[in-house]
Amino acid sequence: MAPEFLKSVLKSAARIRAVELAIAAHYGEEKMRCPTHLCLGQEITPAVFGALSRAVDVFFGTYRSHGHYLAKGGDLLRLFAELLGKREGCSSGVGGSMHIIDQSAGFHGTSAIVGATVPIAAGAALSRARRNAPGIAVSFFGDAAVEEGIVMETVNFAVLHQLPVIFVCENNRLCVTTPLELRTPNDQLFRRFESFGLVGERVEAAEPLLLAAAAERAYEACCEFRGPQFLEVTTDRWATHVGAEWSGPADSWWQDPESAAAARCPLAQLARALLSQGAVTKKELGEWAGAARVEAEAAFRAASILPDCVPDDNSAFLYATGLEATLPVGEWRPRAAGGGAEPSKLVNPF
Amino acid sequence: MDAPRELSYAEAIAEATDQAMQLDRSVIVIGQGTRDRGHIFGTVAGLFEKYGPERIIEMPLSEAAVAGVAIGAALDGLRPVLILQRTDFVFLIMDQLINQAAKWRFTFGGRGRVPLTLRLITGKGWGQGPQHSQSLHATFGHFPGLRVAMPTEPDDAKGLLLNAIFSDDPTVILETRPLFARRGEVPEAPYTRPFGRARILRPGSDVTVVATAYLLPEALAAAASLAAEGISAEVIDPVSVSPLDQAAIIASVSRTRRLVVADASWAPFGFASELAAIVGEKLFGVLSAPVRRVTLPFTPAPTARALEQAYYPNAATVAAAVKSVLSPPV
Repeated sequence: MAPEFLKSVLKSAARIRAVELAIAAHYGEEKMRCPTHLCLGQEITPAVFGALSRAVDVFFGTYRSHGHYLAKGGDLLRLFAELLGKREGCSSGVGGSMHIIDQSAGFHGTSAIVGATVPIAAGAALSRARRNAPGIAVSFFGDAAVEEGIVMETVNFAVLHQLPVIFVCENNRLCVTTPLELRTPNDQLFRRFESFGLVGERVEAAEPLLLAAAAERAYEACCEFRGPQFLEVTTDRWATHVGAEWSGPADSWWQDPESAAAARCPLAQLARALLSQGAVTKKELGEWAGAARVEAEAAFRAASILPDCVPDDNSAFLYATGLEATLPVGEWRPRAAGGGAEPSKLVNPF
Repeated sequence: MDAPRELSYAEAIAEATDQAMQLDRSVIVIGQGTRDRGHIFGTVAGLFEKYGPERIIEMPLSEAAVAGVAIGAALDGLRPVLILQRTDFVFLIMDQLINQAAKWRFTFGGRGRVPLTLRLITGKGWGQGPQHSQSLHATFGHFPGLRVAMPTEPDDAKGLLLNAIFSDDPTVILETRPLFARRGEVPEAPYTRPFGRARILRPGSDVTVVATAYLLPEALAAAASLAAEGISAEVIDPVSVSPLDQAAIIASVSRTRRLVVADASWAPFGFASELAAIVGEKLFGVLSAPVRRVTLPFTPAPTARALEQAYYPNAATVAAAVKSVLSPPV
């Protein structure tokens, strides 16, 4: 893959990591008062898909989606503002970390309910197909979502109707703290998707070149054939399910990518590959990491001084339309002239 | 120029759907049985032949996922009409309906529109039994973020369905199967009827009867027989559950000073109880008698004909309730 593309992936992942670390560093101050699920260790998958996607594509994520939001181009200041309960938050302070959106970037929402946005992403893809509109949908979810019936139902529907959607399962083998082996007899999650005729790949996040290549194949196939694709990414989660505790080589990926400690860090592994290609220098990597840290800190400070939410704003958010909608102006013809049969006069007692 | 024209309730729904699909290419229908010769009780008759599989989507029996797909399609610019032939199956989609659709726009601070219409059909009689007969309007009315209506007149069925389809919010239309053959005057040109507006179907001065679903015609029959005894009952069709037209009900009860609610569901925490609470709060000193609730016995619906006949309240039950509030025991 082109070094420029891989560099953009690494920069994006480094930015996500810096943002998550900034949240972790400030979380204990209790100014971000909402359940927050960090994606430390998992940044590379959203970064890859963010770099592949175009503005016209739409992403749907989960309660652990700061990375997907940022990778798609979501506004950083508004993300911090959302976590801090500010009026200028990306969801006006109503949603918090689990409910983030940036429509202008094509990031169309998340949910606290596991698996819930998977059919919603497929629905967006149905809309694109029916409207002959450009763009695809990308649905991100974790391994536990595969245990939800609605996700399997959605895959069946998406294959049946050949919807332009990519299902991306980020398998960190953890449901809160419950490991995969306590939840399923077959941990080869991609096999379940195959049974619906959705043949995908399983790649490791710690092998970012393979991941990027597989993601690119899925993305291009989805765009070209306008049909569903699947990718399973096995990954490590270094943060607790929720909250700011973390462990792992999160803050040193650029320092010694050759070290044993960096073997499980997708950022370090991508850095190592780019270094060996001569595409970057260690100095550049350090500059990227530093710039990401500075940007995250500055944005956090800027968000901190924004005005707080105003309690009486809320009811205006509930409905888009009043009690009566306006009919579109258009042609209509009586049913008899329209070619449709009259409703059945049969009364079926069942 | 239009001569008065009668349609059945089912025909009015089919006409509204057809007109919506003519007016806007983004309107699609998703349901089970769209190509069946029963045409979902006639309510989608002719649509598949006219609009084809791209817009009349026959669903796999995956209610939850299909509801999510409809929400996502709505967020991305379509106007889906999702039909469940039996209201009872809605429990399979409650996460998508309540956690996702109803809360989506609010959760994101007023961002995103979910122009989803959910048509639910509630059965009664002919042994529909405990899982084919539930009217869940109180459940939907409980949650902010939905618009909920349960029309009983054919013209309301058409106007509210068109309103629901072209509203940018998630809406639930509860249809009552025993009313599908009910006929009434329905204007032919497309029109909307608003949410939040009740309708006085029979004016009266002695007592207000608010009735829902199949109990609405029963209440009208009761009012007719009571009139022969010199009792003047005003019969109100709430039409819209959320929002509820409180003003219309309060105005009526202010005049009659008595309220009977005949609701085709259970009493606890239900629609009838909500009306009793509203009237109790707003008209405490005005009432001449306690509010009386006519509701289903607090068991699921039985199947056998003899049991079913005893189970469902009817015109006689409503008439007896009216008489009881006119002569309250001291």
